[in-house]
Amino acid sequence: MMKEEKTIRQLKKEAMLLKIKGYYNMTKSELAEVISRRRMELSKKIRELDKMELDELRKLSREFDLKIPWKSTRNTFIKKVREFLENLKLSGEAEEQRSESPNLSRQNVSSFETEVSQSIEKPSQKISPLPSTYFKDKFFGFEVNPNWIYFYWDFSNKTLDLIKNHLTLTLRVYDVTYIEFNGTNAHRTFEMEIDKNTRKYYIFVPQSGADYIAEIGYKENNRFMPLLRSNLVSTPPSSAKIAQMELWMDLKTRRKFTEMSPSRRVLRIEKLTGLSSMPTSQFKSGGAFFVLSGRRGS
Amino acid sequence: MKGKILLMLHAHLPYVNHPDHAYFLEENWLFEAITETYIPLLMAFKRLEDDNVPFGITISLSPPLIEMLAEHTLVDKYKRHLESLMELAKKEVDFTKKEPLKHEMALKYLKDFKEEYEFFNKYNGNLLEAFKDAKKSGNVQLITCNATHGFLPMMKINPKAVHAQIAIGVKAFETRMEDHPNGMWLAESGYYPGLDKELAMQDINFFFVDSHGLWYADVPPHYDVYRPVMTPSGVFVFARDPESSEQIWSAQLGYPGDWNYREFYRDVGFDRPFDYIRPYIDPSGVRINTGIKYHKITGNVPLGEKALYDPQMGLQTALTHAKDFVQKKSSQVRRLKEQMDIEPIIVAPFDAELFGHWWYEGPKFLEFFLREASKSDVLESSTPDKVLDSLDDVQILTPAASSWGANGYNETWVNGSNDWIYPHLHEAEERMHELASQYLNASDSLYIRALNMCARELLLAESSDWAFIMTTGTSVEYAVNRTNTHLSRFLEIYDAIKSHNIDEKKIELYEWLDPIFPYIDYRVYA
Repeated sequence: MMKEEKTIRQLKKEAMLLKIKGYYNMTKSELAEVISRRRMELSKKIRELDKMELDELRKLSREFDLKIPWKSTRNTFIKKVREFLENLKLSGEAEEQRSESPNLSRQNVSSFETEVSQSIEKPSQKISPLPSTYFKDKFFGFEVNPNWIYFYWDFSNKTLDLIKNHLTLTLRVYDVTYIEFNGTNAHRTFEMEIDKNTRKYYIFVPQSGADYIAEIGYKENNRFMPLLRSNLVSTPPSSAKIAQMELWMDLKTRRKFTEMSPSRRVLRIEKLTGLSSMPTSQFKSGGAFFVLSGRRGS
Repeated sequence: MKGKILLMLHAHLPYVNHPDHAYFLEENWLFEAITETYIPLLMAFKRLEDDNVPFGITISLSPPLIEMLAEHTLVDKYKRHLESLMELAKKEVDFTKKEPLKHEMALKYLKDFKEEYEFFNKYNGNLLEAFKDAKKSGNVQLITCNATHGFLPMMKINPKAVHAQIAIGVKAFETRMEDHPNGMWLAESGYYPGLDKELAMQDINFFFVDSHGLWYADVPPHYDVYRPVMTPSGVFVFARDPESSEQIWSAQLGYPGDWNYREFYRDVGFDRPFDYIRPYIDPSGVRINTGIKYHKITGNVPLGEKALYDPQMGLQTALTHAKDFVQKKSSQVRRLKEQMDIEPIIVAPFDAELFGHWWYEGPKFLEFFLREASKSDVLESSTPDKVLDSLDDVQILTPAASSWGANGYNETWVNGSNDWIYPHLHEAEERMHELASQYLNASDSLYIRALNMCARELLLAESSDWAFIMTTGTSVEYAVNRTNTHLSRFLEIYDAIKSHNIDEKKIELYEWLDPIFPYIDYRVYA
């Protein structure tokens, strides 16, 4: 019989029922560990209940938010806490118990218990969430492939102040291949309106093996007011270059020499991509990208 | 002159070390790779050497892997892991008495694990020594990789961070392997023009790019991908041969998919009764792969309908495939030689873990291939150092930006599932440079420890593995958690340093949790 692994969802549910703090951000293995450790702790507590003083029992009931009248007897406390802990320990376990063999050897359980208790005394390692902004002006672009660029940006308080009355921002991309860009001399300029709260965007650019610079800014009386300029982004080339000359080095003498480029010597066979029919207009909005990169229908 | 084939196995796993846990699921990545790939490969090289078979193979040992293999707590955990595997194999020998094929396989597992255990103990658990032994003959060439396998094309806006990745990659190899690495495998084969300058500065003599890195270079390569070239900064470049990879990797046509080979996904960890298997699976009771498997791929049938694996048949198939691969490479050499008028150099890089972990018979296939190739009169297996020594002249060109990821560029490491990491990584890289410059002459040992720990947290966050895992969708929570953990510890220590409020206990804790690169010097970021 094959038994499926517990899903992370099931483990989280168990962790929730067991009142484990911070279970939500845990990985599967962490959850599994923390759950089994929790069960061990609970068994240990249950075993120790009989030896506990009234004060300790009261503390325990408070810890679990149990509504046991303050003046109850020690026996009542023990009974109620035990009942609660037993239930807690069983929560989520029902499913596991069905497949678990009833005569699970005692030895295994106890060695397992020792292993877990050894790792209990670990220092707390709380992870604080990462900031959503560093309040710095930043605008970076990275080529994703020959036709796509990923941009992200962040704003300082000063810049945020400048755009506080604008609903949208404008993203401009300039083709500056082989140009010393001065803001106006680009081969081509592309522009789009973008939501003010957006902080990243993937841009399609027509030319591979080209250089792009982007600016982000706002429009005032139809005039583009740039706020930040990106780094230069070079899209990788997607086809072979043509060259007249080749440069070589003689490795014995370390001398360089040139040679006329030959017509191609090695017959290269490249991968062919195709479809039984042309992609039609239904693919217009971005779909063509997936067709061409062979991802559709796979 | 015979044509050359350069097999290049990239051995890498992300740094996963949790000394605060007696057991940690993801640490099994390393344990499985040691049992199934690294030791079997090392043993295969040893056999070839003992039989005086001339061969050549290159292995890039990534610094995180090197550091894990040098980490005592992990090595101890691995030893226990292997002992428990032997115990399970013994139980399996009894359990399978009535099923001849399974029984034969169980005996084989027991024998293999015992031999590996002996091998492991012969080196006192230090497999780095075994790798050092392997390279002594010159048949095996070892090279390094950038520090934590950071994907450099997404780091290039911070040149200091790139510099540190390369420098620490070199230093890790020099420190642990006691030798300068002549070559570097760039994580994910991620290259961009200009990176070669950084490599030249660090005395790296060669690196590898994907095929289109040469095809779309600034000047077309004279011999396509079949001869190394040199960049203007004087570093040699080898480019991947697309044919070799296709022959091995292709899902439909590749060797590892043969129906006679062992099936990866059917494992006794899932097949055995719970109380029987319990000591060998996750302590929480979650079933996992143990590595003991009895079924073959069989065909396109559900896992439950897989037929039993026949180890003799598996071995025979590996031999047939090895001979076929020698045939294919030989005819490729003949064809190329005719077109080139000079002997072709065929470069075939693979993830090392493909051999043994995913493809059970892989190490045997390689051994068979190297044996068969040594008998060929058109082909020989070789290493980059040997090839470069034999070159008379070389074409100079600048390769194009490229990687060996899906579609050849950066999509795997920057897309909607993982792009959120970059604003944080880049900010941390900037801050690391700032700290290193500001504290260039720090002499207070607590500050130095804090600064070094900052560098470690940044490096660990930069591993391309996290972005990769987020893209592929398995173990995502672990990858997200690791990214968050290292970045948030980085920010915490950064703040502590800036506010002159360093908590020594905290630094000590982090040093204990992530003792990677104990020889690190944060000044590399200045």
